[in-house]
Amino acid sequence: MTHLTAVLEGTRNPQVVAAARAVAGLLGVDTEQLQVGPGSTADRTRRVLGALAAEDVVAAAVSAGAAVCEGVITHVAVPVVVIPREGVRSMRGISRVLLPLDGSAEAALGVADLARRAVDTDADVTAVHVFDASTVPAFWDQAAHSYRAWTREFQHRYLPESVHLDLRRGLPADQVLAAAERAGVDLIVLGWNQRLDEGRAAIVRQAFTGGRVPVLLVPTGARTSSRT
Amino acid sequence: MARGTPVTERSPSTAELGHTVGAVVVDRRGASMPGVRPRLRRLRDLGVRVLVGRPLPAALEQLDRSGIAGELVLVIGDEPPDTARALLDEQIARVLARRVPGICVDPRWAIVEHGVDPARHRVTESLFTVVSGGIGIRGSVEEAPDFGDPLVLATGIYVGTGPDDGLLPGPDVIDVDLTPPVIADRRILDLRTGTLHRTEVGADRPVRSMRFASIAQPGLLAVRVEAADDRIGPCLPTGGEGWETVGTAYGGIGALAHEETHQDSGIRSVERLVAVDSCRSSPPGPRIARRRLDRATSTGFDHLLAQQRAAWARRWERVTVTVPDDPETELGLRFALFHLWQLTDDHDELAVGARGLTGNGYAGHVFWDADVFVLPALVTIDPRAAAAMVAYRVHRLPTARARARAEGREGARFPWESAYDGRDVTPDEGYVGGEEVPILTGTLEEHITADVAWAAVHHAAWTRPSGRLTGAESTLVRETAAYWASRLALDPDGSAHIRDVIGPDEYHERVDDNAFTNAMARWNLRTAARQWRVGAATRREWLRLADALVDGYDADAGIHEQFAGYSGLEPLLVRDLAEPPVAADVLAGRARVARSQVIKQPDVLMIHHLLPGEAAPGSLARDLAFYAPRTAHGSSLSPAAMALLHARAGQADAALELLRISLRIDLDDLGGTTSAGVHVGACGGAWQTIVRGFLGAAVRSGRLELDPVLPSAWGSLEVRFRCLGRDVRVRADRETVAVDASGPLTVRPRVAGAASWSTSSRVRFSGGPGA
Repeated sequence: MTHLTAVLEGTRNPQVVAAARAVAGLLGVDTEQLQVGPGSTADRTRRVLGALAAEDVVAAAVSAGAAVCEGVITHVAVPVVVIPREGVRSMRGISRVLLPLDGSAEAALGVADLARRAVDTDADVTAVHVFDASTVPAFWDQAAHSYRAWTREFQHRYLPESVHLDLRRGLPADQVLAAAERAGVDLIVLGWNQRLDEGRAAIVRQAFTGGRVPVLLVPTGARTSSRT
Repeated sequence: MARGTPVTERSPSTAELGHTVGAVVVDRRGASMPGVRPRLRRLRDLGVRVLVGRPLPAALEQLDRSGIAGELVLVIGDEPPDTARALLDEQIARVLARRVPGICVDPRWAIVEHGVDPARHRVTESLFTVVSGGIGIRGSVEEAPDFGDPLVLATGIYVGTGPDDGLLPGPDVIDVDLTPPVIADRRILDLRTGTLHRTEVGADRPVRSMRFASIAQPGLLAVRVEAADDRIGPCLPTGGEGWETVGTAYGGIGALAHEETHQDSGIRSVERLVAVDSCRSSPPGPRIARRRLDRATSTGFDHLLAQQRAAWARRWERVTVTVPDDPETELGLRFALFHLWQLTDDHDELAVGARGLTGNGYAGHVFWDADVFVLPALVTIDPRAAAAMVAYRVHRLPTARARARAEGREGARFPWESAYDGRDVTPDEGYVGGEEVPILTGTLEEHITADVAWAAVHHAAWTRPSGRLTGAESTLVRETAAYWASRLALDPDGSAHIRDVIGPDEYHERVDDNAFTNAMARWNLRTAARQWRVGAATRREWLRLADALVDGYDADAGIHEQFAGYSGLEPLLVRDLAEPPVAADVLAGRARVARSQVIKQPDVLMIHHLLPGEAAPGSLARDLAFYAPRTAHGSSLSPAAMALLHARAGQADAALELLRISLRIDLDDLGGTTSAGVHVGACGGAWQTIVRGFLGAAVRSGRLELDPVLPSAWGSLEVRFRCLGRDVRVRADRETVAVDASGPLTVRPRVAGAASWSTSSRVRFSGGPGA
């Protein structure tokens, strides 16, 4: 039986447990809890990664405030749901999901399987794509026709049909969190390359420190889709 | 071998080629071998070109002119008789088994796509569209995967008359039952022959296919697919036929298909000939399609293919570009030319939508792209098609007249977006990125009315030595002028103004006295005033209004102000936002760019492009220096238009840089929307950059003017194009310009002493250094 492992440091964090249960429900797996014992951060991180490397672990949950968090999310091979430092407002279930996409196949493919699962559970899934200097299209010929052509192709390439696409411009981190806030989402699902110094790290950092929504980080090439 | 392609290589002992050739060349010794001549006769009957006893170089040259080269030529010479006979027998067997014909992959003529990438597939469907007779078939693969967007479209056949009613999707004509589907392949669009080829990669008995839209028999599509016999199934019983039609109250498309299936050594071939017909008033019946199909089936696939190769070869013989030092640019230009050629058909009018027949993007609507970017290209490619484009506008003059009247104006006002009946079909709202916006172009982008008149006059200048308009064209020019006369406002100081418009730079809306709009209106008034049908009083009035119309030229600064108040905007340069080309409005927001001097595309500079005589003398270089750094190229039309202007300003390297961007718009899907179709306006712009930009070709008073400039990366440039009823060939290098024409033509060189000019006796130089 596959399961999602909630990584607990110190006292039991009910929000991590609740998030673990909610995401496990989305993935269709059980949950288990892993209490991190004493030791240096490096030792504890190593032990956690060892546990999460088990064949039957398909995902994990951890608090952004946990000392092992950074080491886990940057090295683990499975998706990890992270509870922001300030905690989340509520974690009853997952009925609204936000998928931040950057227009790259890498980011989209990472979350495609989870997007489909969310859609299958009747969750309201919104993808947000933020235009900045690195993602803005070269041309936008005519407002109605270009929008139709561009969004149709973007949707075709990266999203299940029923996912709503929300286009924004500005700083991706600001816009993603604003979109999450406005839509009242229960979960942000983000594909990333596990580098905290580049790519989508700004969104990750800001979601941990300034957000109130759990973030499911899906490493590029994560093994979720093939094993659940 | 012409064009440097290799002839099929094989060892003397090999008695099998493994592919189907298009021609056999045999020397006298080979032809005298026992059993060879009957085989050659058989091959000739089957549609294979056979040349006997000709010197090899001459034979290859002749075949090359018929579109048959490289691996498509089998040369029989010093083989042992058994080998020669075996090779010929193999060819006979392959043709009889209807195996998919071979291809000569010449990198200077081939667009090659590797792999089956669902994310890229819809893009290649657009790129690989084949068209004939106003019927376009997107380049979808035969097994019609669910990630594809197959479409059959017909020129001018719309779903309805509303803003969202696009081109009517016709019956599906290429799907084949192929199980399992192909997971890796190589697809090649051979521009030389207008054929699309596909070969599966990694299979013992690979799926192969070839298709073409026959330009020798317009409206006819030919498809052949082969695969292991347990993998491919026919759609119709062999020899069977199917008729399918799709229609609305605004016309329809019908397709009549004939299919044959053959089996040979475990390979099954499915051959389908499809005759497609369309009608602008009702769904078509099968009568015309039946006639086309009967003709096609009696011709046969292989003869049709030979016709196709020869017909495309004739096209390229008349109109082409050769840039020996820059194969990538040359291929991009040929790709653009290919899609421009594909716009042409033999109908009485031609509605060129923004994506042609390569996709349903832009709902098939006709914009100024057609009049200003495509038509000037088509006059140099297929003047009849350009005339049909003018006819499309002329036929909608009553609708334009009704609109002007409804708005309390005189004359005729053409719509910003036009489709079936010439009513304005511009949508009311849209999105710039994620920002919902009202769309005002349908109401305010009025320069289209003068653009339409300009296109009619431009067409006449390039195709008729007299430059005279037909009666209907004269009426169009006169009525558009009447519109402007009633549209502009006179101030107490006597100056005339056109207020509350949108110019080509759509980042700034509701502006007064847009320089381009005013210059076009002024030209429209002056051109109409010269017509003899205009009464003296009207002539005087129109000329007075034209003279009174301001154009924003600031004599002190030496540049044109784009519109009243533009110079007071924030002097932002596009590189302050991002590297162009960039949709600056999507990036920074509409309000932000509207407050700044950043513009979407050439606006003032379009005066220099279309009406160099209307711009202040010597102002091109200064306008270019001012506006180029402010131009985002957020329109796909922009890079080519700007490239042309740089070339005319003598800045050939800058021109080439922008031309290269323009040529990658669809091949690299730079804007993310090529899946909705190829940007045919950009194709037209690119070709104009070559003819009007680098060659400096212009026609005045029945004379062709030339003023070539070359970028430093090019040692030479050869261009063939149509002008004044002649096939013209210009070859320019650093020292010389050679001009030739298919008939008498007067050429006026405009290069002052920089090159020596030469020509045939058919061309007469007039004035300038070559005289």
